[in-house]
Amino acid sequence: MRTRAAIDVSELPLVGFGHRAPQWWAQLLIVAIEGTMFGLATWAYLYMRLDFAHWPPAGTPVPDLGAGTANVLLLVASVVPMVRLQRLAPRGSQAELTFWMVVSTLIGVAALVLRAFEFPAFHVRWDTNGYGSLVWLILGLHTFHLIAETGEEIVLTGYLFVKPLDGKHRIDLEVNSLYWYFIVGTWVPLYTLLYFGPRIL
Amino acid sequence: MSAHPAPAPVPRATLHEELDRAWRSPRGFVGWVTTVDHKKIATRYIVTTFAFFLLGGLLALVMRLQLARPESGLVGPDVYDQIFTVHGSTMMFLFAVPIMEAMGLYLVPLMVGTRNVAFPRLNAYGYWTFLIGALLLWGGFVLNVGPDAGWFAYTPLSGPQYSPGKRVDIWAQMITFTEIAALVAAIEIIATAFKQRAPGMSVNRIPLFVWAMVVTAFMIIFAMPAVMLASGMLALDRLVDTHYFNPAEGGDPLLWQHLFWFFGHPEVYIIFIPAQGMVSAIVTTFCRRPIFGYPALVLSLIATGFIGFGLWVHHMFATGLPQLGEHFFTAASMMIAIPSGVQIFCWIATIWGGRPRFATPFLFVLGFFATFVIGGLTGVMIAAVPFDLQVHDTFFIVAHFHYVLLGGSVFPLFGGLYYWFPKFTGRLLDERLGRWNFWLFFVGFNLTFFPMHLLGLHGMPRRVYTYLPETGWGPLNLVATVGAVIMAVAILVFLANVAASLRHGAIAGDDPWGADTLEWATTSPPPSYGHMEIPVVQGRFALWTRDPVPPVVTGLDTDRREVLCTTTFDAEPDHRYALPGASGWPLMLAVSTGITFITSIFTPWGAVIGGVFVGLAVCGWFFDERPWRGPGEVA
Repeated sequence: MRTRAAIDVSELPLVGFGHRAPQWWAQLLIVAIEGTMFGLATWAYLYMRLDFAHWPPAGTPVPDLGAGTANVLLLVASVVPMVRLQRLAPRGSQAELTFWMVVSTLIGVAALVLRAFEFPAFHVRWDTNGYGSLVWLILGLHTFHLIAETGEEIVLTGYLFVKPLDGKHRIDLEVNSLYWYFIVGTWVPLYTLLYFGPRIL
Repeated sequence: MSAHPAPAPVPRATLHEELDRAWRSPRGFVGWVTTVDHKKIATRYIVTTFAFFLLGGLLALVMRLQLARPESGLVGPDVYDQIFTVHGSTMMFLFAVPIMEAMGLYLVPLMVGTRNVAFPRLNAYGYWTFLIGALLLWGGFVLNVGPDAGWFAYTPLSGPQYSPGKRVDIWAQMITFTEIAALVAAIEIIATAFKQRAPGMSVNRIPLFVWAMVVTAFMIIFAMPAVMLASGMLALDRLVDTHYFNPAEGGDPLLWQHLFWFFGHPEVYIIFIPAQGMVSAIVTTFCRRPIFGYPALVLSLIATGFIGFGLWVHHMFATGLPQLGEHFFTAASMMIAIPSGVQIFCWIATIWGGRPRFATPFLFVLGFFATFVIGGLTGVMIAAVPFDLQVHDTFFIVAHFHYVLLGGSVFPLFGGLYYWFPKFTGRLLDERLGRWNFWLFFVGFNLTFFPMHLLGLHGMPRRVYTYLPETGWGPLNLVATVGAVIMAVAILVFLANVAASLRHGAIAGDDPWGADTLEWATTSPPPSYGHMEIPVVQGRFALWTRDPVPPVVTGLDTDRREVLCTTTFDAEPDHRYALPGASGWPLMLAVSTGITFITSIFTPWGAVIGGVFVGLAVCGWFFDERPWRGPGEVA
């Protein structure tokens, strides 16, 4: 069949950032999936509240605020370097991007260390009662995300140390920032729920 | 885009050779496990899911034979429980959802005029993960550890107290596998349809089948997390003594029902909406005219997607909910009839104004109209709480949902298989056998399921392995069993048709039906690279509105897997995007995922052990040499 050359795309760029990139959409959809999961877990927490006369149930103290509050402050503050990284991703030099990735990775590790102190701060086991089960579910789900994201940052940072940066990996860095915003953005309401829910609900 | 004069056209044989070198899968066994060609993966998906449809159908036949007469001793209660659970789980999780997505994974890239899905390796991972989950369920069933708590596994029956052993755990992990696969496919479909449409295919020109797959994919994105969360919580209750669903420690069995049906009801539409897309495609082609009411059809699909999330509680009317809640969900359940009705009227208007050609695909669509309308009407009936309470957990419900699921989805699916088979294989299915297939299936289906309405009204509960002669349910059950045997014969006719047509069917050519969508612009079966030239779309019905010498895109590199990304709304050329080639890592990651979930059935350390494998596989995937990186690509 005869065809007619109508559009020549040979001079279009080889990479598009932001919503132009398919990876950006994939990351957005992953955020939608996991955001739904966190939303449903929150709903389950509030639903189960209705089955108890006291919250937390009698005999379980309210959670200690120290480690959790330190961690949420750290996570909120971490957005600043992450914004820097996201802005630099399309055009920054490899050295700059490596530096900010190291900073972000260290923040991830620090958040995980603080998280280790958050589990005991609730003074309840997962198998104690429904309250304990829900606390561990939400804390566990979020920690799983934190581990996965920090692991991803370690791998990406390692990559930056050993291989030259190309367009595809610049997009990886950019969407990595989006995922970090999601992890911080979900934790602020979840922190409020887990630590202040037992005090006011 | 440049203003330079177009380069001299490359001869088509040369172009084919260059493109095929870049896009073809490796040969042999290695090629078979490493391919990332969406057509090969989707074909594999379709064949696998159809095999599970046959297995699930065999279980249905055993149930029908058992119920054909009172006090039959063909199977005992324990085996019967496993059979209805595995039948339901297979049909929902291993057949209906994945085969619809598989049709989308095959057709969406071709219909939007691109060369592969947006994330080809992820696509391969999705298939392997699905396969492992499916084999887990059936492996368990064959070894007599098949799940036996029903396809929706209500707590507390499915909890550790009433279901000791590992049967329910196998069910719960099968859910995780298949939902990961479903979510992967959903991401593929949305990203491909949003970013890789051929230039000119603005949102108001997207084929209705693609629209249907996009709406379905969004529903999957928001529905599947609910069942993954719920099945994970159930597994934790069973493995490490959490109390999510244990009322003795403040847990709540109804929490399970809410989470499950928040997924379970949208699931019905996840199965049904792609079928509506197929109906629109077939009606357009076989009435040989532009479809009536394209905007209304698109808006109805989207409206169905939204309303589908507001219905889940109507599965729970018998649990003693607040009255206000019941009213709300009754109203929402009736409201869904509005977009469904709009679509039916648009299709009727298209047929009315067209010159219908009654080939097999169109017959299945007409069968769909008849059966789905009946299923929809009983749906409106059971949306009313008093009626629902009367027939709850009876065969009336079984009749209703088989009318909507088989009528609403399997009829259009068979229509779709007859319609696209020539594209998949290059040969047409036989029309005479197709007619036998349709009429046997239509008669058998109605003979099987219509009597179940009456049985339900007479009080026969679902999920009983037998009944007493005094109930008087025997004759109608016998009729239903005869119908089931006729359906089985219809399926055999289909299989014979496929087997014969693969070898001796009429050669299809590119476009045997005179259709309007882009998949018919390429050869049948399509080459490794899909379209030889990326088309420029000039109207809503791409092949009916294009110039005699159609405009195409030039300038994509042919020495690597390059596709064109366009803007999301207007589909204007934006940038070039290189896709990865064949790789073994998707299979490795799927196996690692499998190790994680399967060991987690037995020990909580499974997550840690499997996590190590998953981590290694992810690293391998990430650092894999990138055969698609061309010289000078470094930005």
